[in-house]
Amino acid sequence: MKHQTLAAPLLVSGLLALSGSAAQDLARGEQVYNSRCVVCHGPQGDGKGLIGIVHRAQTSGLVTTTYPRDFTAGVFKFRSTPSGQLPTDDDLMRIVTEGISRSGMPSHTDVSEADRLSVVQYIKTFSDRWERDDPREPLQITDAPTLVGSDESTERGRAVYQTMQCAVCHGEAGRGDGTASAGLQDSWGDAIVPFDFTSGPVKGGSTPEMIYRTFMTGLDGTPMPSYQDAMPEEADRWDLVSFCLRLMQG
Amino acid sequence: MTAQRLLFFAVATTATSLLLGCAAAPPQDATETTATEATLHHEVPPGELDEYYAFFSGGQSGEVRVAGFPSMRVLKRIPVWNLDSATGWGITNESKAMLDGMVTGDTHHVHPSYADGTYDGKWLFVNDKANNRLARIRIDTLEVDATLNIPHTQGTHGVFPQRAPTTEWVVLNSEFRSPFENEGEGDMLDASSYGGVHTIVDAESMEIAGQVTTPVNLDLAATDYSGRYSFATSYNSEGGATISEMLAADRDYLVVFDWQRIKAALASGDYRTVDGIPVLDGSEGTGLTAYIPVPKNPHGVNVSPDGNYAVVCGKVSPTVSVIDINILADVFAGTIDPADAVVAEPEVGLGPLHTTYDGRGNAYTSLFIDSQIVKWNIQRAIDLQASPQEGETPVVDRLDVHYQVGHTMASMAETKDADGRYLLSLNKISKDRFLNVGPLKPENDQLVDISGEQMVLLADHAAYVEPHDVTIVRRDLIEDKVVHRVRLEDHPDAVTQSSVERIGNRVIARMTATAPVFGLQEVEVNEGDEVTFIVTNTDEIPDLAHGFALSNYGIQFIVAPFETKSVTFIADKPGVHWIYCTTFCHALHLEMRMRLVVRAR
Repeated sequence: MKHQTLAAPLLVSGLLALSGSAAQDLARGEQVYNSRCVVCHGPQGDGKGLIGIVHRAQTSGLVTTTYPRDFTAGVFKFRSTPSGQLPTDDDLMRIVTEGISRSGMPSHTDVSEADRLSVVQYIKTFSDRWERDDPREPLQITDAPTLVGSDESTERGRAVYQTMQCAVCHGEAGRGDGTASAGLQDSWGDAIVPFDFTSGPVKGGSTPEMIYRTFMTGLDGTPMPSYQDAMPEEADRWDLVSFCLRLMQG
Repeated sequence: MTAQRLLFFAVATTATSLLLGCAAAPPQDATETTATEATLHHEVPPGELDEYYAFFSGGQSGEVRVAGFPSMRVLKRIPVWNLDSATGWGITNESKAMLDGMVTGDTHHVHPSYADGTYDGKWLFVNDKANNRLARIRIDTLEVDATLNIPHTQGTHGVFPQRAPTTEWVVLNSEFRSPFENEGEGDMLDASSYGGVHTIVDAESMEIAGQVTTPVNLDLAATDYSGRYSFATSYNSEGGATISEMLAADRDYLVVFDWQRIKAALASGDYRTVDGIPVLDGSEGTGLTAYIPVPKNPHGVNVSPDGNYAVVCGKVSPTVSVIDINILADVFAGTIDPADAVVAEPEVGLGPLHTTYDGRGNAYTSLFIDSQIVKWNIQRAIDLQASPQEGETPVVDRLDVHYQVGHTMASMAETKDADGRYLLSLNKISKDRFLNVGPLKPENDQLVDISGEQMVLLADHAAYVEPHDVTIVRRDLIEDKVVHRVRLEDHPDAVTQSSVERIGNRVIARMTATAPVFGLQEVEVNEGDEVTFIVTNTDEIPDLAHGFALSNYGIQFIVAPFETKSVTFIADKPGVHWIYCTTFCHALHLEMRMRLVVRAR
C-alpha cells in the first residue's frame, strides 16, 4: 500500500517541492492517512478504499449508496467558503476532527492535533487544485438572531421554502421525497437522495449557523446549490433556518 | 380419542343442534366428528407475513415474547425484568434506571392498551408477580419505556387495562395477602391482619392513582367494556396462610370495583394517604366494592366481547360462574343480592381455569385437570340455569389438549372485535410431545381452529418456560404503529460527534458506531477510573444494528439504527481490552473494533 501511494505522481512532485519540517509533516500525514483513512478513501485518495460502501440511505424504499470522498476531484461538500471553492484548512481540520454526523466519516478526537494537521496537508496532495486555486476566504456568518425558531419566523420560513422551491427535492414535509427526488445524481454519476429533515440532525451541522452556512455554500458535488444569490435577504435566510429546524422536529 | 369420548361428542353435538334449531349443523355421527378438518391455514409460506401479532408473557424468564400468529414464529423477545446479554438490558445505564437493581421477574399477563373496546396500538402492560412491578412497553419500538414499583402488595398477579373509552387506568391485583405496611413490626405471623390490594395506575404518567384495600386476596383481573368496573377473583376469603386454611370455605368471591364510586372518593379526599398514595377501604359495605359469591377457589375472570358477562372459572369446582355485568349497578344500589348477579353456573369439567370467546356467543374454557378445551354456549347456559332440563348441557364441543392447559386465548378475544378464528391452548406440560431435552421440558402451546362448530387441533409449538398468557392482535392494529428506526434525538445524549472527556477520575467516551467503524479507535484511561461509554448507532438504514462488547468486563449491548445506549463501570482491570461489534453489520464487521487501554496505577 505504501509503495502504491509513493508511486502516485502527484505525491512525488509534492514531496519534491517541499523541504525540511514540511516534508516531515507530509510523511507523518501519510502515515496517519494509511492508519486511519485509507480503508475508505483509498491509497490514491479517490474514495475507492477497501470498504467501498460506507453509507447507505433508504428513503421510501429507495436505497442509495454514498461513497467516501474522492480527494482527487478537489470538490468538497462541507465548507465555509463560497460555492465552487476549495475549503479552508480549518474546514478540513474540522471535518477530520469532528467527523460528519450520520455518515461513515467518524470523528478523530483520539488522534493528536499535530497528526490531524499533518493528515490535512497530506489530503491536499491528491489534487493539484490546491496549487492552482487562489487562497480561500470563509463566508462571514453572524450569530443567529434571536427570532430564529420563533413561530413567526418559522411561518415566514415556510413561505421561503416554497419560493425557493426546496420542496421540489426535499418534499412538502421535508421528507426528501419531492417530485424531483428520484432521479438525482451527484457529480460522479451516483444516485443521491435529498435530505430527509424529519430523520434528525443534518450532516453539515444542526446549529442555526451551520444550516445557514449550508444555504450559502451549497454542497459542492451534489444537486444542492448555493442560495447566496437567489436568497439575498438576510431575514429570508434565517426564516428558512427556522423552518428547517421545525421540520427536523418531525 | 376414546370411544367413550366420541359417543359423548355425538350426543352433545346432536343435542345442541336440535335445541338451538341450528340448520347449518345437522346431527353428525361419530365417524364424521373425527373426520372434521381444519378450514384455516396456519402455515405461512416463506416471505409471507402473519395475520396477527401474538404477545406472550415469559413467566419466570422475566421477558415478553412477540410472535407472528398463526405461524407462531417468535419474532422478538422483549427483555423486561431480566438481564439480556444481547441487547444489554440490565447492563446499560438506561435499563438499569428502570430495573431498580433487580434483574429477575415473573411476567404473567401482557395486555395492550385500548380505545373503545379494541386495541389502540399504543402500549403493552405487563406485571412482575415476583417483585411487584408494572412495566409499560411502547408498541412503536416494542421496548420497555417505563416501570413502576407497586408498594404495599405481594404477588402482583392480575393486570388489566381500562377498555373504554381509552386506557387511562390499569389495575393490578395482589394475590398474596400481606401486611399493608410491611415493615417488620407487630405480630407478622397473625395473618388475620393481612389484606389484598387493588392498585390503580395512571397509564400515561405511570403513577399510582390509588390503592383499594380488601380483607381478601385478589387474583386475576379484568375490566368491563364501559369503563365502570374492574374485577378480581379471590380464592382466599378465609384469610388463610396455609393451603388447608385457604381451602376451608365453600364459597369465595368475584370482587367488583365500582370506578364511579372510586373516582368520587378520590375526588372528595375520602381516603387516607400512605407513602403518598391515596388508600381507599374496599371492604364489604364501603360501597366501593361488591363481593359476588362464587364456588370456592376461583381462578380466571374473563369478560365476553359483547361486554355483557364476566365468566369466573371454578378451578376447584367443575363449574364456571356467569355474572351479568348489566345488573351490577343493582347490586351496588342494594336492590338485588350480590348472588343474584350470577345468572348461570354450568358444569364444564374438571379444573376450569380461564375462558376465551369467539364473538359468536360461545365461550371456551381451559380445563387443567381434564386437559381439555371445552366449548360452551353462554346464552344456552343462562337459559338452562333459568329452566333446567334433565340431561341438557350448554357444552358444544370438547378438545383434548396435551397437557394440563392453563390460559387459553382466542384471536382478538379480549376485544369487542373477537373474530372466532384461532385459539391457543397454553399447556403447562408437554411430556412426550417433543424430542426429549432433559428433565426440564418445554411448554406446549397448541394452535386450534375454532372457525367451525367443532374445534380442530392444528399444531404444537414448544415454548421455553413459561408463557402464562397471550393476547392475539390483528396485524392491522399494530403493524403501521411500529417504526423501523427511532429518532436519533430521542436520547438526550445521542452522539453525532465522538469525543473523550475527562473530569477528575471520570472519563466519558462519546462514540458513534457506523458500519464498520466505531467513532474512536482507542480510549486511554487509568486503573480505577469511572468510565462511561455513550454509543450511538448513526447508520440510518433499517436493520443495521451494531453491538458493543467490552472484553473481560462483562459489558455487552446492541444499538439499533439511531439508538443510543450507555454503560458506566470502574476500569478495575488494567491492560489492553478490545471493544468489538457483536452484531454482524458489514463485510468488515470483524474489523469493527477498538481498544480500551487501562493503565495500571
